Amino acid sequence: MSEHKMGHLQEPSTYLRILIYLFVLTIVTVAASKVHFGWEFLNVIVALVIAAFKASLVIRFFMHGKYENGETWAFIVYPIVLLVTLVGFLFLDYGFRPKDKYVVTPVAFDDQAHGEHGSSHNSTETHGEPTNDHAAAETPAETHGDSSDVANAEPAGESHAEAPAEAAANALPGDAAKGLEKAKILCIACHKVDGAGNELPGAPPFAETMANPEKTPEYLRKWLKNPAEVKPGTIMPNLGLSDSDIENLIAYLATIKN
Amino acid sequence: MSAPGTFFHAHEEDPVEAYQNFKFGMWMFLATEVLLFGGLFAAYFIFKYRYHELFVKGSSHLDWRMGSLNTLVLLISSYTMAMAVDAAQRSENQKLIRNLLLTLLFAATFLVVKGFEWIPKFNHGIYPGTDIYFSIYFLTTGLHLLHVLIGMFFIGLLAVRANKGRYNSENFGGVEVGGLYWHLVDIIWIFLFPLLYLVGSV
Ligand code: HEC
Repeated sequence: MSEHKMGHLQEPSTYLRILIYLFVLTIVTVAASKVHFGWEFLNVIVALVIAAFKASLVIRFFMHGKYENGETWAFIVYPIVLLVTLVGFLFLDYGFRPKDKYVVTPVAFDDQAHGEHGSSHNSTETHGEPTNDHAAAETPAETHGDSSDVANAEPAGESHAEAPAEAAANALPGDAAKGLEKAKILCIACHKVDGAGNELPGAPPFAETMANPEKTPEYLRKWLKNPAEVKPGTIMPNLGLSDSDIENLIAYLATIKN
Repeated sequence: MSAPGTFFHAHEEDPVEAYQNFKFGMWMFLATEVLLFGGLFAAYFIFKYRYHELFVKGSSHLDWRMGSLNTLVLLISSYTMAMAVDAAQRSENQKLIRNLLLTLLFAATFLVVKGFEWIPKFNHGIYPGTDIYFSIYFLTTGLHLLHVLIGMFFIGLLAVRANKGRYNSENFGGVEVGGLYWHLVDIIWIFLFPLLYLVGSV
């Protein structure tokens, strides 16, 4: 029962030093996440690498892993190897799969694809039926992988042919109060709603949008249905809104105009 | 020789062997914990890219400042726990008790911050099941929270036993093994924090 066998003593100052390293690494993690590396997976990978390094400090010093024997290390290393393999292969798949083979909605990869892949999206998006009232588009989960759902934006030329119907399209059947309620849940993270919430840099205040006569209800319908259809590469996500949600939101937005 | 009230008592093992087996058992358990959370991390990555826009939307509801604060709180609690083990190894009982109580205090701080994060979400009608992002979010942070609660229970137990003078340089295995568990709770959070709060939307 020599002290040697009953664990090891470290200098207490070592623990403090490790704590400071861990603090610094936490700040580095936050800072690195704000940097745009171009290849977006790099943000995730950097975050994971720093986290792994932090974890190794905790294991080696706080948990006295440094002094543990081979059997213990076997149990430290084997779950990590399994995990790295699992997550690593996920990255290999997602990171290197040809872009047009993604089963996700266009918005997901427009951020990274921008110009170069924009065209391949359009080709898959526009050949579907140009109907607007596709009931299946209720939830985002259902819209994935079904190219006909993504097709609710008409081919560009067609919207101009609707001039006579425009008045009808601009009528607002929605319920503004319900729209406000929805907006307080769904939009508040990026747009101020009723003076409350966050304003994401780059997201215009609603009042500014509504002051612009070009932002007709018809336009907003398309925008809210799927922003990336209107503006490829936009940060505003497809929120998976149902048609009635959209009408209510537009009715609410119209109240801001006045 | 063996300490009364521990698992070892019945076996009348050699105390050094008992100590080493106790620790080794905890390391093995921690390996299973890593795999448990590993499955959830894999689910996170699969759904993150499958339903990317839900992750963009969902993670915009999280405040990275709250997550950072809680990261620092847990790191400090890991430090005080390590200092508790150190104090036990040096038979400094008062210091041991003080560090255990500090660890408990920081664990409680973590819970309070979590409360400030979760309760507004519930008030906004965001629950587990709101969408796949929030299911993953509540499942991972919730399971982590459960670990924090279990850890707090054991740290409390250690503090009570330390108060009775149970631990000294000849017998500190309990403190060290409790520490191992608590550090794992910290490590899980070290990964959860960036994945959920920082790169959830990329
Ligand atoms: C994740 C953040 C985010 C959320 C959530 C969000 N938006 Fe946006 N929104 C943006 C950004 C960013 C822009 C600027 C888009 C651009 O110009 O690329 C924007 C632009 C807009 C515009 C102006 C479009 C234009 O062409 O001028 C409207 C209208 C709008 N959002 C409405 C909403 C409504 C209504 C909701 C809630 C149902 C909502 N947004 C939720 C980020 C968001």
